[in-house]
This record gives sequence, structure tokens and C-alpha cells, in this order.
Amino acid sequence: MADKKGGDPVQKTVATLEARVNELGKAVFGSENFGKVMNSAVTTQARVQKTFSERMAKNLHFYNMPSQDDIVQLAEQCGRIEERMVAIESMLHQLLNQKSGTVRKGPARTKKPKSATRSKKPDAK
Amino acid sequence: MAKTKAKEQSTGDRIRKLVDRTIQRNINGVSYFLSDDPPVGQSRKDIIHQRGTLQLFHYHPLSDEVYKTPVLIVTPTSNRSYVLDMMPGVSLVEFLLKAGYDVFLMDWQPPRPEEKNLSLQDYSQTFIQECLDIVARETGEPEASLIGYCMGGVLATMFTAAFKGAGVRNLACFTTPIDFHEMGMFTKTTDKKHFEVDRMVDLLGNVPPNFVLQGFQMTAPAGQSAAQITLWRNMWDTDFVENFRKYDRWSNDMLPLAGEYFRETVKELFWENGLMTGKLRVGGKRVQLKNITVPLFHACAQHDSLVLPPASAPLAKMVGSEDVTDIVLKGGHVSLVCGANAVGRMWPVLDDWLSERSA
Repeated sequence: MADKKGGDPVQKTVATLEARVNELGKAVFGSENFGKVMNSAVTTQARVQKTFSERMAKNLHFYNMPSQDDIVQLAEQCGRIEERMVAIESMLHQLLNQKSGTVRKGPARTKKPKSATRSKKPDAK
Repeated sequence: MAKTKAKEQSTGDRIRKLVDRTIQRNINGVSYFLSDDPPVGQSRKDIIHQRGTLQLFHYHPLSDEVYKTPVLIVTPTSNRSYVLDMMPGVSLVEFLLKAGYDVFLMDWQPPRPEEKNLSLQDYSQTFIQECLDIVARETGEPEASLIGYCMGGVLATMFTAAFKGAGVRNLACFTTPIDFHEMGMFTKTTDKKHFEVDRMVDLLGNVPPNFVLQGFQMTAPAGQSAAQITLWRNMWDTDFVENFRKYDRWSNDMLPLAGEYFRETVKELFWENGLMTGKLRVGGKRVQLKNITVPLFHACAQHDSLVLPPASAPLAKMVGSEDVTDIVLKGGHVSLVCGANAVGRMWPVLDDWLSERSA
């Protein structure tokens, strides 16, 4: 299949480089200063994302178009309908099983552990 | 003379191989960018329960006879569950079905905005209890074996500890972090000193998948680039490209996290290290690992860059079970449960262990 043999020099070089960059990255990302910068970047990103989506929603509303929130709400309603259908389907299955007298479906739950099968084999001989 | 001929032949062969591979690389390269996502999670199943972010799958059996005790798999909340059912032949679910287990799986969908208040209690108690009840109703068996992977393992462990094993016959966990102060990059990026989890959750509601993905990528910054180089070098190999696309799809297909659940995970597990100290309380119940007395199987990966072995090692030592199997296998976080490494190493060991405790 793929060139993943231990002897492949290119693959070895890539692996070594990857390990070195990962170590370097961990040293940088793990520092306290990076943590502080990262935290403020994440918070800013989140705030920008939120402000942008609010403004976009207003614009879309102005043009009489659905915003992401509207679509999410629709998706949620569809999800709720789907949930009810799954619940109804499950109840129907139960009712059908009760009617036909079968409580459980599927294969018999009688499988024995491997050791039991193994120890039986010599006796059979 | 013969030597020269052989050399010429090998040079000719090499050139032919190079040309073949170049052509194949171009064909695969074009199809890589133009074709749809490859199919995953193909084992036949029914969705027998659905509530918001939670779906409960019941897989169709693949053997004539099954073990008495059903299996309920708890998957990680940040990832899609199809990593355990990637493709035929490389699917833990399919392996368990063929080995004679009745398999149920808790699958997570992206939490809806209204589900931002789902808490650690919902995930580690309510949802699991709900699913165990349904499994019991479906199978007629009062107990099931809980199998948890990564954060799914944490949830399964927390449930078993909080309810002292009620409804659980066996507990099997793969790469399950317990000591959250040993989580390397995650411990550092969520450091109390600078990580303002309250501000983030209050601002966003649910935590978007790109934040979670960034965190994962920071544990191995060169991983993506190295993977792309390996892909380019093996682009001629159709099987390699197909498999790569499936794993790549999964690793980028992250789920958002429910806001409150994320907040509590950071505060209770990362900051307070509640599972290690034994002081964790969820839903009014004390979550102490010593209360786990059911048989425990734990497997961790030697080269796991996400859940470092020191983070998961305490599980086997801290539980109250007398029947404990703790193994460290070669491989990484994903290859432990999926791929050739899993097929040859972890799955057979798990089957040997579980079959003895499932009849």
C-alpha cells in the first residue's frame, strides 16, 4: 500500500521534522504569555463573531430574508418533529411486539464466552 | 553482463513505476478535490431514541447468537461517533457485532442554541441513565457493558462512580483522562490564570467547533502539514487516498459543545481536578472512583498526544474494582480505536476480556 516503510528516507525526514515542529509549537503554545494573548484573541474573535452576526441579521431582516437564527429555529422545529416521529415509531414497535407476543427481537442471547467454547473442543474429540 | 541487464531492467522498472504513479497521482488528485465526502458509519442501525443532541443507535446484529449482556458505547462529545464505524473492516462496531455482541451507541448531534444549558449532570447521568433504561427495555437485560472512548470514557466513568455501578455490568474505557492536570496543552490553554471560561460561554452560548478544533490542533501543530505531505507522496495509492479522506473528514468534523457543559468541564475537571481529588459532586452525587467496583478494562496509547498516558493512568489505580485490566498499546489517540493498529492490537484484547464477562 502506501510508502510507510521504516526505511523510506523522505518519510523519516517528514516524521523527524514533524516531531521537532510539534515540540517547538508546544513550547510556544504552552507559555504563559501565549496563553494570555490566545485568551484575548479568542474573546475578541467571539465578540466580533457575535457583533457581525447581529448586524447581518438586521440587514437580512431589512431585505426580508431569513437570518441564521431563523434557519436554526426552523431546523429546531424539524428536529422536534423528527424526535416525535422516532418516539412514535418506537411506541409502534413496542405495540406490535406486544400484540405478536414477542417481547424481544433479534438473535438468542445465549452465546458462551470464548473460554467455554475452547475448553469444550477437546472433550468433543 | 547479466548484472548490467538486471540494472537496466530495474532502472526501466523504476521509470515505469514513476510514470504510473505520476499518472495515478493526477487522477486521484483530481478526484480528491472533485468528489463528495466518502461514506462513513455504514453499519446498519435503527435510531431508537432521540432527544436534542442525543441519538441512541441500535445496530443490526451480525451473528446468529449474541452474548446476554448488551454493550452501550458512549462516544466523545466533541467528535462524531463514526470514528467507531469508519468503514467495513475498520469498524469497532462491526467487529463487536460479528463477535456476537448486541451493540447500542450514544451518538451526539450538534447541541441546539436552546441546549446551551445542558450540564455535566445531563451528559454524565441523565443521558446515560436514559439510554441504559431503553437498552434494558429493548433487550430485557437489566445490565449492560459500558464502553467509553476519550471524553465518552470520562462520562461513563462518572456515571458508574456516581451510581455505584447500578445497571452497569462491565466498564471498558479507552484513553480516558482522569488527571486533568496532566493533559499537557489542554491543561495549559485552559489555565485558570488567563482562560476566562465564563466570559466565553456567556458570550457564545454553545462553544463553536472551530474553538475546539483549534485546541486539538495545538497539541500537534505540524500534524496537518505532515499529513498533507504524506498524502501527496501517496496520492497514487487509491486505497490510501480513500482512507485518508475518511480520517481527515472525521478529524475536521468537530461538534460544538454545550456551553454549560464546557464551563463545568473546565472548572470542575481541569481547574479543580475533581476526579483525582475525589471532591467532584455532580447532580448532588459524589463522584468517587473508589465507588466503581464493576470489572474494568482500560486501554491507553503510548503515543497519544491528546490524552497523555499520565492523564489516564490513574483510572485503573483509583477504582475499587478487584477485576482490573489495564493495558498500554502502541499507537496514538485515534489509531488505538480505529485503523490497522486497532484491528490487530486493541480489538482482539477487548473481545477476549469482554466475552468472559458478557455471558
